[in-house]
Amino acid sequence: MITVSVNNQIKTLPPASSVSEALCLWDYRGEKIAVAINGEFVPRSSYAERQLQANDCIDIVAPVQGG
Amino acid sequence: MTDSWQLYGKQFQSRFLIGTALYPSPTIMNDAIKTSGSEIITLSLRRQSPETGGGNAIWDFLKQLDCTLLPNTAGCHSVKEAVTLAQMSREIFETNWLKLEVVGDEYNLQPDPIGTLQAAEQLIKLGFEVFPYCTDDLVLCQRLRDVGCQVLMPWGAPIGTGRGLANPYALQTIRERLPDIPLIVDAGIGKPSHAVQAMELGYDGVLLNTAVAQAANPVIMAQAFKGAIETGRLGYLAGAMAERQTAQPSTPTLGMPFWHQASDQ
Repeated sequence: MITVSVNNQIKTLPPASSVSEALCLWDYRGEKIAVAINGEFVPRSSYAERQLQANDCIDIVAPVQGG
Repeated sequence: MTDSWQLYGKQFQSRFLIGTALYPSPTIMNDAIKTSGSEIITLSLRRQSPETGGGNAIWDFLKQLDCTLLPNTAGCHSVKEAVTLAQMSREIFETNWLKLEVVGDEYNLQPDPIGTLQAAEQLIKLGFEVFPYCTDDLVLCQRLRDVGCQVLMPWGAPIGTGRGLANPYALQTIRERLPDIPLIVDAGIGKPSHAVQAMELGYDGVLLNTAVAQAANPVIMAQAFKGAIETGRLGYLAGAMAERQTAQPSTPTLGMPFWHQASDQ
């Protein structure tokens, strides 16, 4: 297992997991979300092939009210 | 009288842009925004865990307002953060529109002029249509226009202060020097009279959130701002009289009774 940070919380997942697999594992199925890894935007179209590495910092955001 | 305006090629009737945060309840937000007549609403992105519904609930609610979306990068402190959040925002909201915010100072949430300019330049190259929230500095506004911003949004006063137009002279100077670009006063508006003042200066629109959302009655305040923005706009279009130093009677003096030439007395 590898350890990553998801929205500032430590989580573990199998090595070589893709973003798609990780999002399923963390229950983000079908949500209106966007993802950045280590501060870089990751387009939805690359979720399937983008593999997560140990110690990656993953941000997952969703719509909120704003001014 | 038709008085529509355009932002990045899209035509609007309302000159009132409104935020979606800080309302006492979603129902009050819904009623206030509908009453405001606004066609453009601001919204944002934040970290979400799946347990909170991933933002779907609020998204569903905002969608039914049927307004044009202007997502912001509120809370970003660097160019990189703003550019990354902008890209996330574009993917979620499916729009190139972006209210660019790069915070420069935590105390008054003053936009970072240098970071805002750098981020704007990068984002425009990435195909974004940038609405920069900026200070009321003329040269900064000129530079933002020069890098391709087709709308500018100088602050009236720091976000959430409700202090009104802190520097009307600076705002007026921007209007005079940049007569052709849409200008929106963003932030710091607290009362309808502040909005009237902004529009009388020749600003094309007003963006506010807290003044409505945190009013004792947000729905009535939304109605008040709607009227104020329309009134200020009409006042600007009508062209105000020139100020004079001395009094001048408005009622004709010719034909005034009880008046006699000195020789008759």
